[in-house]
Amino acid sequence: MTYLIGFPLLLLAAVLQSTVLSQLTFFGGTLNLVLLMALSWTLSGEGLEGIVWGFTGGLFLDVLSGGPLGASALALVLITFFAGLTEGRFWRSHLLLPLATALLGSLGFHIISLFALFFSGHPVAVSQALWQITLPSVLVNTLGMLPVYRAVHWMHGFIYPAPVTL
Amino acid sequence: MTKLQTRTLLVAGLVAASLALLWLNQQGTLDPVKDVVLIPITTLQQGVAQAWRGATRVFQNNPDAEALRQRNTELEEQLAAAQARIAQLEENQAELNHLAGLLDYARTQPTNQYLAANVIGQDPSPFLGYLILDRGSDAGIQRGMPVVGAGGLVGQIVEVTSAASKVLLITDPASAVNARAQSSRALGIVVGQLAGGLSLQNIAQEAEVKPGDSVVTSGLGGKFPEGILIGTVNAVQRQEYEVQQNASLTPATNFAGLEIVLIITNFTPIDFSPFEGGTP
Repeated sequence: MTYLIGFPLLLLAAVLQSTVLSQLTFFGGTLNLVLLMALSWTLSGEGLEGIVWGFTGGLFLDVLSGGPLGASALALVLITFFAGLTEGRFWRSHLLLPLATALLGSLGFHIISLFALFFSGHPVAVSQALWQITLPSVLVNTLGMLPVYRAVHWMHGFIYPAPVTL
Repeated sequence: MTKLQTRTLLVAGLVAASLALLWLNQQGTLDPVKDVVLIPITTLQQGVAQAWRGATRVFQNNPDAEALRQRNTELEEQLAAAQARIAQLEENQAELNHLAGLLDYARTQPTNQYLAANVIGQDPSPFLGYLILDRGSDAGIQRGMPVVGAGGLVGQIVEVTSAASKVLLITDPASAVNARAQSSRALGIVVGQLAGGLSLQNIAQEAEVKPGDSVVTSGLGGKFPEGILIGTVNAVQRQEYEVQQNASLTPATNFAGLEIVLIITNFTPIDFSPFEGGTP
């Protein structure tokens, strides 16, 4: 059920990212909707599914990108895995957790993507990329995490309603 | 098996799969698979891109959205139908303006044959400069065909499926275009920069390049036809002790607003690979 809903949503998120969100930049930074959705699902308590979401969403991004196929998938799998390690260690309903996860996740995603581009032979100006693109994108993703997390968390409650005990 | 162990195993498997995909992609063996997968995705992209363009036209030409909503409440059905008609007409007008600009450009290069294509997507990675167009091999598009806009050079087709194609923009750091400064005839290579800039590199030290000079394709290397405008010099970086000088360019094309481009269909890039093996 999760994957039946999640995969089409991830595909739509990837398409939106390439058609609409890529035109909406903030000082060079863009929102990574697929990353935020995968992180939000992971933080909603579904660590294992979040990893699969990350892999699938990453593949959708790679197919639409001119970069190497598998680069975004690799980055998102690792990011969602580490995000899932927060389960049971932090108070999940605290606002800071999704924000911190988005901040660190965006940074990690960009760094892994840069490495993948470098090793696939694509010219990369690392310091310029980090200053001009990564920093504003991290800020945009952190701000964008709140509405995305709320929406995904609501969907999680819809798919996995909390059991009611009398 | 604990949850952590299960997750670790899953991650290890998916990481291995990702690395395998990266390796197979490098070998080029995944191209047929990507072609098949891209067909439905680009169809979805086309629909989303058209809907987005229609929506932005309505709000760009109706600055007082609040008054629009109030009026819409009063005359709901009639106003909604009229606005839909207006949006369609404005879309047609905007497309006409784009095409007129492209036609003006095409008239300056009468020897070229062109095929117009809609931009239906951009690269979702902020580090890469690629566009997705709604024309593919079914329309006769081939790898290597140059792509231009109303302003000048846009890029080159690098991947083709049956109904779509990917364009490597000249602003991508992996792009290198042999170029010439028009006034001084100095040769150089235009390389893309992150965040959409262009740099003219490897200019001879003695060449006189100054801000305001137009830079066009030189035709050297056989990748692009000669004489296509690339941009204008806005700054020159020259040191007396260097062998070469560089210049920053302002692109002739507004890459942020690209909706329709022209693909030059009667130009075949020259294949230099037989010469790259070295003389025996």
